[in-house]
Amino acid sequence: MSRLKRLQTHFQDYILGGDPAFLGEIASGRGATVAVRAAIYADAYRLRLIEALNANFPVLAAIVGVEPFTELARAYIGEHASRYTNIRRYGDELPRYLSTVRPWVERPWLGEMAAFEWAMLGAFDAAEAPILGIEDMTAVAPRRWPALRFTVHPSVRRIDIQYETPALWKRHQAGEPVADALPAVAPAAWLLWRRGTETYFRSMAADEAAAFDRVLAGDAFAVVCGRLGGEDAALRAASLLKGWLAESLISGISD
Amino acid sequence: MSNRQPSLGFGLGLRPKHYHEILDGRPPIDWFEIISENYMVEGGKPLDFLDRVASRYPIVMHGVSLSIGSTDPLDERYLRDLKSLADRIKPAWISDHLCWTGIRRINLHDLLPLPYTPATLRHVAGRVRKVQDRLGRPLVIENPSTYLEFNASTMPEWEFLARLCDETECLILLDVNNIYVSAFNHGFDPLDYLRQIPSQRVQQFHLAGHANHETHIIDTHDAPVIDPVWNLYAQALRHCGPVATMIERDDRIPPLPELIAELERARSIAREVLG
Repeated sequence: MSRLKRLQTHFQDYILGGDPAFLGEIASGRGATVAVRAAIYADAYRLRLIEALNANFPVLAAIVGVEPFTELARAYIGEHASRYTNIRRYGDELPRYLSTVRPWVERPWLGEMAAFEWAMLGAFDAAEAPILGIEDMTAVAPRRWPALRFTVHPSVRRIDIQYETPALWKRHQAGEPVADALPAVAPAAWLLWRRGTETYFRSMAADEAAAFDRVLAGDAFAVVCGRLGGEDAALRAASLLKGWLAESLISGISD
Repeated sequence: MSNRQPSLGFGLGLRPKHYHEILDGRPPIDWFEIISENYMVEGGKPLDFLDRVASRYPIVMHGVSLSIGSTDPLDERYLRDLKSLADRIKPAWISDHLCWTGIRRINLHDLLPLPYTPATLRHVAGRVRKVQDRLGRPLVIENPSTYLEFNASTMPEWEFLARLCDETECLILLDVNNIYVSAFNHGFDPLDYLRQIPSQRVQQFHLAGHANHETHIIDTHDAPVIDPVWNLYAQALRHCGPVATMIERDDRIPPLPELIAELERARSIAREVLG
């Protein structure tokens, strides 16, 4: 191991876990002590990631409150070092963390809010892609339809919601106070996506969710229709597809 | 000889808070510096705003995650995304810091200091050359604010920077506030540092505010530039001549007119010093 690599290992291990071996590398000078100088970097590391989590999960932070959120962030940071060049990507594991680690798991709406906010961020930053319109579909010959597969827009996110999460998110946007006990609602699948530079979200009816999940899985239109069942399945599928196209959810077709 | 480009004048950091004011009002700012990583995304609103600002103002890309001094291999994906953003917005130049940001693929999101030794110089110079080859242009390297120095160091930072320029033809982003901060923290004379910087290699100046904790100063970018740093800026202009100047503000970001007024002070000092 080169001397530089050894020094960087000591420095990083100190920042992440307080390994005192690093302190011996630091030149003592006037003013601040060696320990204070090293601590500036260790403190800044945590403060910066706490700030990033606050920025990425503003509604979750508002629900939990400043001090408990800082505690949560510190615990999460202790278990998840950043592997991202862009700090805006930090926090991807927070929804799962809240849904699996005590005491957070006892308030399941917290994990759901984190998942919702993370999906919003993902939609916000997703790649640009072509948008297919209804007119593009009318040009497709009827015999091709059963085998047709759809590419959804890269910004589309689909999540399961069991609490009043989207409504609470909207209330927070409107500057209203948020409570830390969300009422349960009938479980539903929700879609989040970006059209132009604006982000949208809405719930899906059960049959639409079943059909859209087949679209996301890359199944052919015949399979999508099959998930709807009943005599009017093809009609319902066509109507849903028209809606998805109008909402800019579909980027391409292939067969 | 120097490969530096002519001054772009007086610029500010492009921050989301000011997007609409910049696009609607066309404020008197000569150019904008972006934090590269904030726009190394696939799509969406930030890139849309950047495209529009870039169609009206010169842009300079300033990165914080190149990690030029790390002993990890260079991050090829990062370089690809950096090049892709540069191809999209055609910046006047691309800068990052003389630092490392992590090893073992971890990003500590900080500008961590390096020991200034001949071995570190060889290591960093090799990586600067590789990055310059990938980007097809000289890299502009900024002197960081530092809070500690290493027993292992055998040369001052200015000498390391100067030798790095000689070996790689890279340029310097001279952060005047960072010289002040590091001088305070390590007890050297900021003018000594400044005088040793190869003036023809300086492509850009940074100015910023900081937080003084009596025993040490932290580079916070959350306050106006203080008078001693303005004085050092005047000296930097005398030393380097007209160089693109930019004021950094990353926290407690004030309304745009306040930053424009601060930028006017830089213009006025430059007029006074350079005539």
